[in-house]
Amino acid sequence: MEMDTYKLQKGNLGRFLQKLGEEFAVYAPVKSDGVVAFVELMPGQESALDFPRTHKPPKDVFYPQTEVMFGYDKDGMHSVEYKGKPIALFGTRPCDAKSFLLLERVFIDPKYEDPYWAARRNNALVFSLACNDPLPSCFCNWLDGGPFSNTGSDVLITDIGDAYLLEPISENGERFLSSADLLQISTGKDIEKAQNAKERAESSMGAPPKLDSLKASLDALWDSPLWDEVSSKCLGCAACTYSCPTCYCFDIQDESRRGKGVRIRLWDTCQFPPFTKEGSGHNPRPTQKHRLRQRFMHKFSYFVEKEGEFGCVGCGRCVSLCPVNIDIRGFINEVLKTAQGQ
Amino acid sequence: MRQMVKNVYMPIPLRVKKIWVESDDKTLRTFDLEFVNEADAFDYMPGQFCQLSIPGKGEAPFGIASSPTEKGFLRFTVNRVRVVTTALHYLEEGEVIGIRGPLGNCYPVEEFRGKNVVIVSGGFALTTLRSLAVYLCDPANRGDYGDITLIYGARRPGLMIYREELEEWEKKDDISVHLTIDEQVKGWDKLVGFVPTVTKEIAPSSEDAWVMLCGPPIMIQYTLPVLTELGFPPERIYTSLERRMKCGIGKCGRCNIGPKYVCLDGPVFSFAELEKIPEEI
Repeated sequence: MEMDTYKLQKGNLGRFLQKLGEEFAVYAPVKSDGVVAFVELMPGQESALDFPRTHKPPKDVFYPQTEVMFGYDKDGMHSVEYKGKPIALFGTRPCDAKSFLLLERVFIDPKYEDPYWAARRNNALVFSLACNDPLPSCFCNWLDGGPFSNTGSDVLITDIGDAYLLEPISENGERFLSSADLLQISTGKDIEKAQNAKERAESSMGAPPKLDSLKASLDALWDSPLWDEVSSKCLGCAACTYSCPTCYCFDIQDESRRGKGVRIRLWDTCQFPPFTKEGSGHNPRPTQKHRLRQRFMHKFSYFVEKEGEFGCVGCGRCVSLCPVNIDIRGFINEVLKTAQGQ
Repeated sequence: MRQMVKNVYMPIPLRVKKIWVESDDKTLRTFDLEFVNEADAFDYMPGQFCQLSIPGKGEAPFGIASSPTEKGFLRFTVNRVRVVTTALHYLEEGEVIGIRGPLGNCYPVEEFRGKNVVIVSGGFALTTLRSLAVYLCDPANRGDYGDITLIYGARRPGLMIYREELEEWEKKDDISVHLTIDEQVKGWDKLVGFVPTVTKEIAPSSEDAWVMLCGPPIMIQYTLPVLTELGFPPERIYTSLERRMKCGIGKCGRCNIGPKYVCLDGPVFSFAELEKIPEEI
């Protein structure tokens, strides 16, 4: 059965989010000090949906940058898992929505379920905001995504001028929209506007290169001087990994005082030397070349081998935030070209 | 099977039953631990590891040195290196720590059932191979395997772990034990020489035989060619790898070698597998 699409007048956005907040803990983009970031929306707080892309991906909504795993005292250990309302993530970009599916493969694998991820992610609703104006650094269309992709979303939102078009993608999305207040059934004209926006956005991105041979090319170029070249200017600052929606590596640390304390986990990065440094002092990835290769290989070879798809959604944050302009797209093209010439 | 109910990061309480110093330089201690709640006890296989956890200090992975055929305790030998291992060394008998496990894969005891087994080890890498030797020599299993040979070397007698036990094994006829030290010292009446050299001299037959090889990287580097010369193909030479780890369950993302996670796909690998993945050891 074809599902209805809905329309929300822009003037009603605040009230709609307030309603959403009765059932859910709502995370939405909020502008503060000129920076847009996803935060839990407090009553009366306004969301800004006119942002191109947040610096920080919304992955911390389901996977906080630091979180307490459990506390302990003289009586033993006490697990600390999320027990709040189900989460509604509102206004995430399609690339970031797709990243949750990739992260899920890691956190919920066939053998071990990560309880902290599951506690936030289960029963969550993801409202994605389609990209009418992709940025020059965006390359989601290289990776089976697109500015209007609905992968990983429960509802896809399109800005059609004076209103938002809300298209249910999952059953949960449909269930919510069909009973929500403030929505109208959209008209053929609304849908046409959204369709036009989609075509404009997609055609603005240019044709993507074919990446079918990328994994094999990277595997063949393990010892290539390409790695020396690309890593020679890398500062090892890890802006790329901290801003990456699909990076998931973490550290576990204990903090304690006078017999009680907590075990916490926090985002970590393969770009810092201590990440793999062993107790003996030996480090299997001693230079920035090794560490940069790990990042690229993980996303475009190892993840493919384990999970059957690339571990990158093409959000372009690592491209735009790199202080020395390392562009992973340029490197990918270089790899494809070099492998072809071999 | 996915573990649905319990939190996979939550350590289970274990009581320190017995501790002793394992090496004369006092950097190695061995711990026998028992479950505080009998219901928590888990099954495991030789080669698997656990995360030992001291609240306030952290967690670190250690290979299980006891055999599943030994009931009532879990044994670990710990080299004192940094924060967690130092805290473990300061433990006293009766104290309670945490454990997560068993983690990782095990030595391929099913694949080499009915075959001869050669165990080659050096230094304190003997831990999970002790587990294997005890497992194979258990009366319930011994009949399932052919000859069992152990070649073990340490720099000097005082660094030889499980020494009393190994000397007991020398008297048994179900395992052939060869102990060696690097240089002759007074009172030593066994072999002298590095593990690769001694392996070459003993020359265990590769016919119908599998090798489990664990030790310092330099020992592995020089022993591999000896084994190849003796006719062991890489498919029948296994080792156990170590890497810096946090979660132990394939999520924290740091123990990979190429596409393989040491914690999930290993720690036990054949050299045939290792040849296929990029070398970043």
